[in-house]
Amino acid sequence: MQQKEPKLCKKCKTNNPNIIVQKDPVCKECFIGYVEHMFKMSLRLKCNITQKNEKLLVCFSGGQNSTALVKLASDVVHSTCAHNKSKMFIEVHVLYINESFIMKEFIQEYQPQDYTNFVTNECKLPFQIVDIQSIYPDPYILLQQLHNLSESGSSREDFVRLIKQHIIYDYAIKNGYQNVCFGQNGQRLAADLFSQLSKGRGLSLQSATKYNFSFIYPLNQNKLQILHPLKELLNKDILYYLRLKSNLNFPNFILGQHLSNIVKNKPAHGNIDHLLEQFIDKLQEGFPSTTFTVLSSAEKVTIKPLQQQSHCPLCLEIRDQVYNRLEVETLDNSNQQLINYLRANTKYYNKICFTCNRMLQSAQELENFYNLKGFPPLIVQIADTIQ
Amino acid sequence: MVKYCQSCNVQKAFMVRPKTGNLICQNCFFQAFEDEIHHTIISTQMFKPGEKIAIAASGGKDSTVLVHVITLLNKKYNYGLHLYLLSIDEGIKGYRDDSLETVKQNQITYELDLKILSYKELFNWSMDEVVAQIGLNNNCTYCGVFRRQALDRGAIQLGVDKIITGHNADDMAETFLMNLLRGDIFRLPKSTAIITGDDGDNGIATLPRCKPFKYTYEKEIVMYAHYKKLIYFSTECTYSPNAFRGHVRELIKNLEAIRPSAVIDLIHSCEQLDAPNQNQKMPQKQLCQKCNLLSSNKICKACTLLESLNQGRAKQILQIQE
Repeated sequence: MQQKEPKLCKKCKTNNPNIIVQKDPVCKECFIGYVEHMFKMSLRLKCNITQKNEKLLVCFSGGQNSTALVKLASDVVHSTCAHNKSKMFIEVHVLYINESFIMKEFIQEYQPQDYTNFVTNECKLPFQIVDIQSIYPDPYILLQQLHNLSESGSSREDFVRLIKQHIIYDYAIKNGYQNVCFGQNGQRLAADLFSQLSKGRGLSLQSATKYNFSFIYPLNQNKLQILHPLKELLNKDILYYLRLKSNLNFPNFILGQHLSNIVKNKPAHGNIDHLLEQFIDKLQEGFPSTTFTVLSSAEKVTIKPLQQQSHCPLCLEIRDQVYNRLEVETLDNSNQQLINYLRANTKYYNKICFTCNRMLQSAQELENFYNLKGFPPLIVQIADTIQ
Repeated sequence: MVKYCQSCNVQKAFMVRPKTGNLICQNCFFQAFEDEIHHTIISTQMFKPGEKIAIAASGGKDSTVLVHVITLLNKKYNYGLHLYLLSIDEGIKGYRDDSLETVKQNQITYELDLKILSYKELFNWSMDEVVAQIGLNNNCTYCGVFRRQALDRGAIQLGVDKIITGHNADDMAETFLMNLLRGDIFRLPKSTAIITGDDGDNGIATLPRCKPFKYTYEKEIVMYAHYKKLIYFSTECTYSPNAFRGHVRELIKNLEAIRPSAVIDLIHSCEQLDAPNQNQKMPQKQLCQKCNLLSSNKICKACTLLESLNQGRAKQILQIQE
């Protein structure tokens, strides 16, 4: 009886396969080689990192994706890749925003993590830590603002995200980094895209999932390139890569879950981002082309031309257009009076975009938000600059 | 403690409004529901006075409420429309035959002319026969394509200017996400279009389809029907598959539970999209060479599907004869 030949790695045809990559079974060694090669090609061809000594600011959160990003960046800079040893002559700095100040407020059992050993000693990359509250003149205002925001619907998480974004962009521009690198893999980008769409940010279809998109900083019109070099990878690829390359333990704190005080009676603890992550992850398991179909569609979509291209001072995105009154209000008198009051009596209501308005709905002390009272001077400065 | 309506602050609240999560009394809810549909119609210039409008009526909750509200608003605000009911009998026993009784009841209640067209008389195939032939895979594709053409044919026979359907905000949000998941970038910008088919590409006239419930939540339609005591048929289609749409539907429900405005926010997101750029090859609108109705190919999808069904039937007859 003819025995079936055991399947071998599709690439080296020598070893036994350990993981499926884009329908091909590959062994551990070839998998690492594939990831490293993909990362270099992404940086060179898709992210246009081609100049010698080009500066790259890598944003690190301590999560799995950004850990993989830092590890890969270190390997290409120090030519310590397992396979192709060719070096990339780029300057990589790692930026970490320390959220301990707000984590301690919302999570009793929170333990701060120290990544210095990983980034500085293991990866040998310059490491900068910025405390999230440092941007505020009075840091306790930040906690007050978070408590005032609705605990459901990812409002708090979105607020933290936009504060971090301000810190990152400001740091990048002040220190001469034209390229800002984020670690989201393709599956995360697809989930993020759906999350943004569910919050009304349709304009994100044109930029949020690109390998490389240009962002004009509204304060001084400096141009930044926002990069997603891990877009080709899925969650399982990142997890397997880390299992092979890293000894780090990843804590179970999910910031979003805890900022929402674990809203028990709502799906995904009342967190839109988690709901969409679960949705995409589930679909990806049943329909393996989900992530790449979504990303490919997003690349081809076009946006309606806007009458005015001005930015929202909170999220720095371009303010979108409202095409019908019913997108913003209902005709049952429950919110029209409030909207009219805020429009007439606050300084920045008309400058805040649709999605940030949604983030702020149901917040307490709304006037303070729309007057940017207690906000970081940087954000107020941007708001005053914008038309 | 008595809770009052957050709209009028006078009446006691009787429900939480799904769209806003606010407390509302019955009168304010009915008023807001109808006002918002009226605003949708006026702000989008959906109709012109004197137009003949066919209401696609299935007997379900959406079309029953649609018939009720459009008739009411037509009288109240003097739209000057001539309304007709148009129903399609797909030929599904125990489902469509029952729901059509509800449509006939609506005909009497609202004193409207009713036209019923069946798949059997149009295509010589009922859905029961289609499913017997092809099984439960892709049966929704056949039904959807045939229904679209059947509505067009029925509307032409009635001599109407427009068709209105009961597609609501939840349907639109689902369609938007589904088109994104399937990579259908041509349909993506039109997923939430309130009037489709009115662009008259290449000089080919098409019958516009309008969706007055674009900003109306499905839950509110159900509540409106319930508290107005409207009679509708609420059973799911016999051949409802474990469809891909089911995943998206569940997502929308969960999103609504977390943030009530999420459905409108999805519609708002879709509104930012434009038609694909000229580098993308767009299907050209033309007339089908067989049935002379609108098509994106030489032979339209309905005729193509019919041909495959008829070939299958011919094969069966030959096998029996042998």
